[in-house]
Amino acid sequence: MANTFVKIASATVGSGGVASVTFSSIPQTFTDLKILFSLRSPIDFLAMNINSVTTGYTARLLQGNGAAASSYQQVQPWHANMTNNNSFTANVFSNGEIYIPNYTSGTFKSYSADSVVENNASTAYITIGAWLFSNTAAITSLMFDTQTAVNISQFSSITLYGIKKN
Amino acid sequence: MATTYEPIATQTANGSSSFHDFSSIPATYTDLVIIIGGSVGDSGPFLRFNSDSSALYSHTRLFGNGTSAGSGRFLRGAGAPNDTRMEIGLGSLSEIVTNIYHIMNYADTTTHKTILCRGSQAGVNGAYLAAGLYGSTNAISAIRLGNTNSNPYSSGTVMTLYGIKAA
Repeated sequence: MANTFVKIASATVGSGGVASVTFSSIPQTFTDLKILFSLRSPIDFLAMNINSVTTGYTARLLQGNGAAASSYQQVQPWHANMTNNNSFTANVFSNGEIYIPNYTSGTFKSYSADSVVENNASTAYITIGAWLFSNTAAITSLMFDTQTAVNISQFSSITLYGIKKN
Repeated sequence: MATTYEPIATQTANGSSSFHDFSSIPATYTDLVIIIGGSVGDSGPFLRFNSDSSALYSHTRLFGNGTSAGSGRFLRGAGAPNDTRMEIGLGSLSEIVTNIYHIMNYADTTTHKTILCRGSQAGVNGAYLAAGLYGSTNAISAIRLGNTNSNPYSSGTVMTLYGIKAA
């Protein structure tokens, strides 16, 4: 049987960091996409732009910080506390997963994005998000950055997988 | 390399069926994963295993709707219909959702079954996690997907069952 959970592309950030990581020309032959990431940056924002589109994003998020749980709404393609920043324990990276079902469909795209930001202190974060990209285009590219002029740090990694239903 | 994450079956809703069944599930995997992308037609999406409507289902859920965080629980013994099916996941009449279910050790005949759910619905209900327990030692060979009011899933909603092998 053909492989049905396939690595499409992967990026590991080198010395000096990078402004963004982009997966382009995503094959349209899978059913769903799964992105796994391990990230660090001087700032804790993480943005994912789909097809270079910067509008049409909405989200509802649930976050715990070790003291309380809270919930937020978002209308931009980014959220805070998804990446370990430089004020957190050194050499510790966030871990997360984004799952996009039916990414080639001609409907709006519902996807989930989860992240854990660990820290050897009283504050750390777990974030789960429900996202909607109100755009009917098939997803052909994904771009990750910090939504600022700050780089993603060296040794961060992002991997894109494709999952086939048959 | 042997394939260890395999699609077992997939269905695309036609907009008129109240239920969607996966049956004759092979017992050759370790865990099952169900991915639902689309509209599940109503709130209260549920799974029922092996056509079993006994009071054997319970779960704990955590959710954030963009305004507040909350938690809830259905106990066994809470009374029908709450404990006669695994009512976990997010849904509404027409909004697109992503519901991902992990059914651990589904073919084991010595333990009860744990189900993990991750739900996403950006429009209203938000982000959702749940852990459920099906209090039966029977291997799971069939799964029915439905919702509270038996409304049909929207046409084009895709439901796929995957098997994961430990080795």
